[in-house]
Amino acid sequence: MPASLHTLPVELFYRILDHLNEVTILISCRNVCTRLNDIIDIYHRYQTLTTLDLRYNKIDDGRVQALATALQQNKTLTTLNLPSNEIGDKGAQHLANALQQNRALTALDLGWNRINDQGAQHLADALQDNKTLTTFDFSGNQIGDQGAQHVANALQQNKTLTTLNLSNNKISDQGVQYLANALQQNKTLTTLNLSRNEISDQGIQHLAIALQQNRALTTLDLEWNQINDHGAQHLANALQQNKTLTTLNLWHNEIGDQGAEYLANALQINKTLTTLGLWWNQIHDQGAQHFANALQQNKVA
Amino acid sequence: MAGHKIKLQSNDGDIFDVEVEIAKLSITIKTMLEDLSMNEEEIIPLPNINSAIFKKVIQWTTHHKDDPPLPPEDDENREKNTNDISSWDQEFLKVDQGTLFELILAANYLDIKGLLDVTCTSVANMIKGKTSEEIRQTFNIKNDFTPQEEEQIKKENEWCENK
Repeated sequence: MPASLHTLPVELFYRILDHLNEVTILISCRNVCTRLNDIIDIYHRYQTLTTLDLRYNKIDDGRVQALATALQQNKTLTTLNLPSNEIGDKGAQHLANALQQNRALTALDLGWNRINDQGAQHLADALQDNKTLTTFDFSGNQIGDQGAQHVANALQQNKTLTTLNLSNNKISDQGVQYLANALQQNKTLTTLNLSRNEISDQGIQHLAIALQQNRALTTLDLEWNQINDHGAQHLANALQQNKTLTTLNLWHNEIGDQGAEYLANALQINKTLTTLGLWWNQIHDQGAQHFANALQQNKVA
Repeated sequence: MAGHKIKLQSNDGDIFDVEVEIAKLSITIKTMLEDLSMNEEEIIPLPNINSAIFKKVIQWTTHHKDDPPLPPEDDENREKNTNDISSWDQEFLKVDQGTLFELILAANYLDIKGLLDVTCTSVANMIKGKTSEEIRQTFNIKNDFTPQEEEQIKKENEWCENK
């Protein structure tokens, strides 16, 4: 039999793999044939590959498909960072399919790609069943209210995700309402980032209701939205009840002195919040005075 | 010692007169000569290498006989950062795939690290940027996944292509 890649002794095949980077091993060498898979299974760099950072790699739906196929049976990779690539809804679908099989990945970063509501739906469906992923970064995509609804459905079922980043998307009040409803049920999510979306007081009202019930969330990021005094009032009401939130970031919203007063009063009752971010709002001396007074009472912040 | 030659015999019977200094680039031959105190008049048999491949090996070692020795290798630094191949080696490696893999086997048997490195790099460069299907086509590998496994992979691909 003539010499070929397929018949090469294992040790020599490893020498070839030594010249390839991790992503090539996953994308090009996995799932060629059973013998190669067996060889790669016990290759030390594959066995110890726990983190793959592929940001700014021009990974499109085609390449992500190969990566997703490789991930289906992978048992070592726990962190996959794919931010700032060219992944669209189809690529999201491939990854969603991988997530339904994969039992190793705990952190997935898909920030700053080109995923719309449809892609969000596929990933959210996968998250309903997935029991390993704890951190999911979805920031900087094009997820609107429909996508948020699917993510919310996932959050109602999911029991493992602790950190969800949905910042820099196109979620407005309707989408926040879906998420808020899910947060009433969800018991595991501790960090939710909704900064730089299109959320105004109406959405905040729903979120505030959820915060009265929710016992898991410790960090809520709402910076760069359209929250004004009414929204602040809703949040203030929630803070009077809530006993878990430690960080609430409201930077760069439209909260004025009146809103500051509501929040300040809430802090006199709330015993858990340690960080309240209010920079870049419209709070003047009068509002600041309320905080000064409140902080004399509050023993935590 | 320069110019001093030894006789090496390929597995198809041809005898090659090779300068000792060039032959000793093969750690296997070097060890035979030194440790086994083989008589330099004796014909050294190389049962794993045919004449065509051995000619290529001699061609490579002759060209590279003055290369500085490669750094020692351990498991820590096995992963190679550079996959550049010199233009002479690129020209040298313009061979059919069967020959390329025979050269890898020969370099391994003869323990010529530089040749093993460059041949493995060449194969690695053929792998880069290809899909698993392209790898099968390039290296003529049969897809031997069970129907279930194959169905799983195919389903995944179709599912996405149809959308």
